[in-house]
Amino acid sequence: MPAFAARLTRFFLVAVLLAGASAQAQDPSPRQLAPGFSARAADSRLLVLPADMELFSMSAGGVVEPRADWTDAAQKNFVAALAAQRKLLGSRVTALDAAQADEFAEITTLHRAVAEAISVHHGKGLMKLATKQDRLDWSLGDAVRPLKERTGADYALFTWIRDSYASSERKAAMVVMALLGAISLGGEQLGYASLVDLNTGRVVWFNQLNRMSGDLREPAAAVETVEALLKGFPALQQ
Amino acid sequence: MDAHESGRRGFLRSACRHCLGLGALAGGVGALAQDLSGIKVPPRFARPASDTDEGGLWGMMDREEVRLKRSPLTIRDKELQSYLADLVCRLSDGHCPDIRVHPVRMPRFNAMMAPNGMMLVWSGLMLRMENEAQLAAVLGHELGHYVERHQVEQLRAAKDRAVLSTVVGMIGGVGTVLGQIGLLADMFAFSREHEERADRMGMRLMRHAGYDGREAAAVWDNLLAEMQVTGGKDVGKRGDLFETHPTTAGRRDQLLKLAGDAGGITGDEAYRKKIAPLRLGWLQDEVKRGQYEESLVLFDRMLKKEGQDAELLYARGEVYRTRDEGNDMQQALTDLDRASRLPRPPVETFRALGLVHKQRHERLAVHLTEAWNKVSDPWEVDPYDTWTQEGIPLDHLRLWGGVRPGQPLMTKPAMFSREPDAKERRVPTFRAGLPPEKLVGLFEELYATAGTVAITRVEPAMFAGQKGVRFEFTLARRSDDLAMQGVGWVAVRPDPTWGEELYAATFVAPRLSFYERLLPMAEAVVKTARVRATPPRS
Repeated sequence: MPAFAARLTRFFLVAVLLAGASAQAQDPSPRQLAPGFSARAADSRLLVLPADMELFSMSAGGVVEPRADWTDAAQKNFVAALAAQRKLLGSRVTALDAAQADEFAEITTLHRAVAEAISVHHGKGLMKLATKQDRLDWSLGDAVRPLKERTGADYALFTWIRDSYASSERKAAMVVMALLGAISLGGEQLGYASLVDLNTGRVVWFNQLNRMSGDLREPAAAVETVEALLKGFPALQQ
Repeated sequence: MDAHESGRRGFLRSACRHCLGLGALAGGVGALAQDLSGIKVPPRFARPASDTDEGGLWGMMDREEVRLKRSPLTIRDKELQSYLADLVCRLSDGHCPDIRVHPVRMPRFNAMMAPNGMMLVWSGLMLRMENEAQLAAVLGHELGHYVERHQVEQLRAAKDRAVLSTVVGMIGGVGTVLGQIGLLADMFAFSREHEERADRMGMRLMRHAGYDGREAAAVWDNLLAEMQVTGGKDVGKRGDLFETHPTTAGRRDQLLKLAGDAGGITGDEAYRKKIAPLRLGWLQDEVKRGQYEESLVLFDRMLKKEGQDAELLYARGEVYRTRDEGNDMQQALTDLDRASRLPRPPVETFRALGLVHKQRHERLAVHLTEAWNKVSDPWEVDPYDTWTQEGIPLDHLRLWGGVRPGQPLMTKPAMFSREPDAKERRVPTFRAGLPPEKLVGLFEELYATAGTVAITRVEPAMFAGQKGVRFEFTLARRSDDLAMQGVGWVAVRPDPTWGEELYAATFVAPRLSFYERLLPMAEAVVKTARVRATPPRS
């Protein structure tokens, strides 16, 4: 079983089920922004880190298997789709490729844990943290300093995606299960995107995907996924 | 429950004077012939005319019976109803067509029989009976009053007619069925002579039906044992019925004499099977009565016969848990834990166990210097409290309080994997007499369920006022490969019952940035940890 699936303990399953399809609003909601933050500083530089991404297939019985070929294609499609978002991201964008980003792997892993904490505790469910008082108030702290020193960027965009696709047998099984009244997951797209202020480590904007649709294996569908993931992404100050 | 009852003495009065005539036995019992063949069972009798006093009593009882049938406390279990009806039929020597038996769910030792043929059997009585012969003894005694029409004689002898009319008036529509039954019980407190006669008639009926008469004395012994525990502060001051009625033992002896040694059926297994489907509810009713000392005598006695009965262990554990005095929580834990390991324990056992753990680990008191978030898994009661600053995926401060030898430090990790080689995981469990490195080893084992653990430092330290150890470790988290840093404190405290109790705390956070940032807050909490003298009640 892949690591991300094993990670879905009861605990996280709850959070996911509670959060449900409400993952993303149409408009940038104040919940997505850190208190006091509304837009990136004019002339600020944005670092785009390669997406932490894995794709899986799901068999009729619900067994998930990693698919390296899909993941490779998705990485390419994702990069291309991001490049098409130039208007949204601005002109001063630095990107690290996978090899360059490798030395910062611990930071991207940390981002994923922070994003998970935000996903679990910043939702509408039972797991709210009293000390956060509903604010998007998480920080990677000085952990991001090496990124700042290396790139000189002001902000970094972290993305994390796990995507699974039901085989046609799996889809048939889902229909049967649904008829029997069972809820079965038939391929889902989980994703986090965070904008981190590299001067402070603060997460200033956050978005997540948690849906039964979306496809990164095809270029056109990948554009849709990137748009969904960057919905409400902060603009540059005029 | 019973508005009429005035505490324990009221209970004794209504339960015993009525059903077994305890209260009436102030004097000597008189000569009872061992030979029961001379006792004649009177023939069936017709309904008395409605303009007579007896007819009035019947009418009153008929109305009462109609109301009773609607009561939510009537046990509507067809099997039990027909079982009781059959038993009464076999005992009643021809009176069967005139008698209707109604089991009622009330946690008291009681049964009563009205002159119109209505018989009530309380669930508390059925719970206490060890076999069919004992039930036959009590029902036989009640039938004795009925066939000899003691109630009618009692009515005629009532000195205060005004009281009677008041009672009849109330029965006309005020109060609950149960309140009325309480009043009736007092109205029909039988005389000493009636009790003797009913005892003899009951013995005649049960022996005639083939039951071992000695079981009638066993009923008496058991009830006596239960009533003798007064417990609590007012031992000896309560003026227990047994202090003022020294003839109780005499009655038991008389019953034994009447029983002879002919033997007969006891029907242990048959009886147990009959009540099995309903017994758990009755046990729970008994616990809710709040008469802990009496319940403990009862459950101890039952467990002596059925030591491996999960329902009984659960019930006794619940008494200890709800009483929560002295060593009770530990006793509760022992019973509930044993129950949970037996086949098919009541599901409530697990809830009760969770509550005990919760009550126990609240024994570790900490003072929070800064705001923390307490989090809990809604489906599991962990043997520790969890606090966090930034959220569960990032950091946690766990506190263990009063873990006793044999108890696990964690609940079993959930397994969602369907891998065929997936084995049941072993859970780190506290044992007495562990040296410091073994104590640290428990936590190493615990965190190994989450990833790869390396202990980097162990040193002596105080925790919760005890000498213990402080240890540091790294954890490479399996789920996401994140490098975590951890610190723990563990101390063992001598405990009079279990030998030892474990107190511990751990704090874990990502190595990058978080650990260093949050550690001072965790340490501030750990510094304030103190052991509470008695666990708080919940």
